[in-house]
Amino acid sequence: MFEALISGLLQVFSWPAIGYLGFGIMLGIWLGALPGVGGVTGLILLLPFTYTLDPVSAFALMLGMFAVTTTSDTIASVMLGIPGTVASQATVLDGYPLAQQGQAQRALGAAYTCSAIGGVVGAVILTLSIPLVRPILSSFSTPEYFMLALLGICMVGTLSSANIAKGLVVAALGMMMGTIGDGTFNGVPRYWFGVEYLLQVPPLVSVVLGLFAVSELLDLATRNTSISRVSKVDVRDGTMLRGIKDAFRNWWLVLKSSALGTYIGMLPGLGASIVDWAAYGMAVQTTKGENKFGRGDIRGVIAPESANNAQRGGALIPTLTFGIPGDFAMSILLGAMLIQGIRPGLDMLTTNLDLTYAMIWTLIIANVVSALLLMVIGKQVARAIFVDGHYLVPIVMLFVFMGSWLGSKVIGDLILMLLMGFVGLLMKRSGWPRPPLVIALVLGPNMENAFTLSNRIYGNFGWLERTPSQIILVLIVLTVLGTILAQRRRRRREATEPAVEPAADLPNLNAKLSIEGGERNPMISLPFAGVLALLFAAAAIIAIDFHPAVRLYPMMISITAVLLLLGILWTDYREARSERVEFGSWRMTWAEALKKSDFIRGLYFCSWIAATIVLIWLFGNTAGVAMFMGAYIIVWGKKPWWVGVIYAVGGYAFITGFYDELMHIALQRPAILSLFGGGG
Amino acid sequence: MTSIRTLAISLAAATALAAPAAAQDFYEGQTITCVVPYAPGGGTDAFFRVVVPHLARLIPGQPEIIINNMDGSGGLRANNYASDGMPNDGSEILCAPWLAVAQVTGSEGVRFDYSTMRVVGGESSINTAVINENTMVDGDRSTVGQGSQPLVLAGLSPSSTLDLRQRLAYDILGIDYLYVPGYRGSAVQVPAFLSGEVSIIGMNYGTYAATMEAALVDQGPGMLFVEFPGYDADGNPVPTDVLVDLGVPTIQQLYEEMHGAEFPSDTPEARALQLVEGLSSMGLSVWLPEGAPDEALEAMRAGWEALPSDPEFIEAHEQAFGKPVGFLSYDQAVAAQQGVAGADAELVTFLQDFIAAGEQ
Repeated sequence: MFEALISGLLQVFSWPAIGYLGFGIMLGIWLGALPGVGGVTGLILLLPFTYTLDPVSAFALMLGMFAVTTTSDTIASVMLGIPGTVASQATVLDGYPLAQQGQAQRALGAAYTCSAIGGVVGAVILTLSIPLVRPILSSFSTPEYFMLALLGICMVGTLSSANIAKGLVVAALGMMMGTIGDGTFNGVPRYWFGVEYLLQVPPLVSVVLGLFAVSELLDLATRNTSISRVSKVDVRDGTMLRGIKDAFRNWWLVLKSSALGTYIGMLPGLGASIVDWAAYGMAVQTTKGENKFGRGDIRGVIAPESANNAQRGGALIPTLTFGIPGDFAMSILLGAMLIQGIRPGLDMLTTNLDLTYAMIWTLIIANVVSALLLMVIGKQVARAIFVDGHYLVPIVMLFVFMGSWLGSKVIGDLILMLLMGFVGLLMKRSGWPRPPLVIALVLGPNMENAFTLSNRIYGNFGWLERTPSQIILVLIVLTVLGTILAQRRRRRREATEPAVEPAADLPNLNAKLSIEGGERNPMISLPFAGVLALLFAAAAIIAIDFHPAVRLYPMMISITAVLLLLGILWTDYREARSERVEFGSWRMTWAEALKKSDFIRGLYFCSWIAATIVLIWLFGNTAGVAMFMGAYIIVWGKKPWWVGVIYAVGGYAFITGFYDELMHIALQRPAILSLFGGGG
Repeated sequence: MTSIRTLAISLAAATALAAPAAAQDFYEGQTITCVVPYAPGGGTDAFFRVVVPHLARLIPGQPEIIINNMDGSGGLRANNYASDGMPNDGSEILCAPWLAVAQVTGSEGVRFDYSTMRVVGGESSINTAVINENTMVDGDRSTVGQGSQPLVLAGLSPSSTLDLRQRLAYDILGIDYLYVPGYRGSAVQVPAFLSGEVSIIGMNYGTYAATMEAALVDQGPGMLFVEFPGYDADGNPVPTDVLVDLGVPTIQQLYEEMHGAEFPSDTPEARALQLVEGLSSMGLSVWLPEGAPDEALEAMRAGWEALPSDPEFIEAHEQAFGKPVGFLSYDQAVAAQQGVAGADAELVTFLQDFIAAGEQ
């Protein structure tokens, strides 16, 4: 074993493997930092290049790239409030408020340090845990996968918002979106209304980018501000070094989160999407005394960032030893293994053990090197939070348009992004948390699948008699009850003590921070809840005609959501009524609500996106996005025309070079060609 | 060895050169997009990622081929695209599992029509199933159903070819089993099999050799159960050498062993099984859209037909999938294509009812 360990290390350090590892790390840092791109896209991009490489070089390239995207994806989460990948959603909750308080460097410093430690700890634990994989896999049957997914969703639903009912309704919305299209049980599509695009579950990347990016960018576009709500001179002690110290000061949390990340990573289908939340939940629940979770608590960055890098090691083991790809990325890696002629199985722990260790060393080296590199460039990156937002919006929108396009490479992806952008805007401005929707959409299809299978095998809910399922059920109840009690305690404390302002230690903090689910606007929330109630009710009615085996799940979710919504509607109505008293009339209250939510300007921003989608349809992605970039800078940003031209030309060149030439992404064929008989 | 290699290369080159002159330069300097209907990393994607570089090398004019994973709707989206959205100038090809059963049984969302598209070639698939050996006594296949483990079939969906052939075959064998559709992919199947929740999983031999053997047989209680063979023109089952060498009986042989009588070939189930095998005789296949130029088809064919005798490709294929290359000839592919239009209406109705029964 020791020989294989050393042999693996030597192989990674031999030429050309080390060169490919270096290239993989650089590419991973770059891809992880781009919203909507991330590690999976990178793996797809690299897969064809691995044909001609030897196995160690091939995996040094792929794993080196993949391992570090969860380190660099923190940049988008902290700086823009857009989860760089699904695994860094929880980081947004505290990372973004920290950036708004001018402490992006501190958040990034802590995140990079934890990512490196998490990655290394994950690799070590994974080495020690190899014998446990078979027992772990065998002890979880289908009902337990359903219950674990439910636990994950409840955790996010309750943790991500001050209003648990709203969190759970949003989760239900995500779960229902996961029922769109090809049914998992009988292959008969549901909720597709004859629209081919709806034959599939809405692509995650388009949903995430719409939900988070549009509303955050709208802030930058309309409030004429930088990401940081405070000026540079007001920031004290927000340095990267402080972040690094934070990580070491919380060493026990880092270790706990890393271990948790590794073991969750081993469970197929769950890993990447819930690992950051599980760690975040653990941090919230095990922290004693005062905390600022959700408002810029550094521990809210440390826990998920340790866990999501550790998870990568955990996910590797079932893939290598059983050929079970836990997630999409692992299935690409498995494909690469097959192309290399390497079969997963016991050989990976016996005759090919040195290759397994080479992969583990790759993970360790990549995690450490990327963290160091990012710390070096981090200061420059973090400066972007003080830049005039108008310069950032077109650049980020380029990635939003192109990232959404990667969903399934049709115009429908962009329309979905726009729709989710509008929904995200309403949610953000009226106190509805967005993360539960994403995680429920990720887990939903597998959950329903597990639910239907469990009922089929054990009889309807008969699987609840299984002890492992009962244990997880208890955990779910404890999670929900624990969060309710903790929130009550906090509310009581806030009622008796003077309110702790977020970042009260910072002077001149006039602008409001963006706290997930924290904004109150009952006049917007009320109609939104009403529409949701109608949608859920309609979904339940439509489900009556479904096949019995696939009817129960959507009906159960819809009816639960409607019941929760009745409560929310009543609370919102009461809040709206008290606002009416304050403003004198419903008309004034409504006008105030629209002003507070930036609704009109939000619609205007969305109309720009809609116009760009039409341009993309007419002239293709490259020209369409370039036109948007130029026009935004000149018209919205009120910058000189030549700056607009530079942006447009730069955008055109980047899409052509990166997405078209390098990544070979199939782009929209300009409709204008066929409209004018150009064919094609 | 070198001389065999040289001979094979010459043969491959000769096949490529046999294409008419117009086809020779049709693809010179061109880029072809190979539309794969599933996400990267799966079996279909892995197959075409192994095939494509060699195909590009062997097509006259040596075009560049890039893969576009147009996943969604269980493969329907890309197939529909090939029927009504793909440019028919030869610049795009559909590289996909053949969904003939979905077309014949009129699955929801199907808009494609294989009878109008232009088939380039296909791969023959070898179909088998892995079973938990505790479902039988002492590993004796003829005692299946008498072991300590109940028979639970982990299915994909009632309309999938994989499930249809198994259910039809097991019904003919007279096995008492529970059919549970919805087990999609190895991430769900393997843990369920290892924990004893399910006991039979159908698959093609390529998937078995690539991943499932290690997970289910080497590290679990699995063994290869039966082969579901294809049929020759006279309706006789044709077992494959690979599974014969492994001692795996065909479903017909197992029936005879279990019942001491000849496999019934005239029952609706047996005829439906033969129809399903005919409609899935081509596994992964390559298609040009309707109206694609003859030159494109000829150049593609030249490349595709050169593959099975190309030593570099043979080596890459065996390395990746651990089994020999099994390609249909062009005539066999065309015959398979014609089988779609010629399916017996009465049997199609039987299959539709059988699918509906699987959903109960």
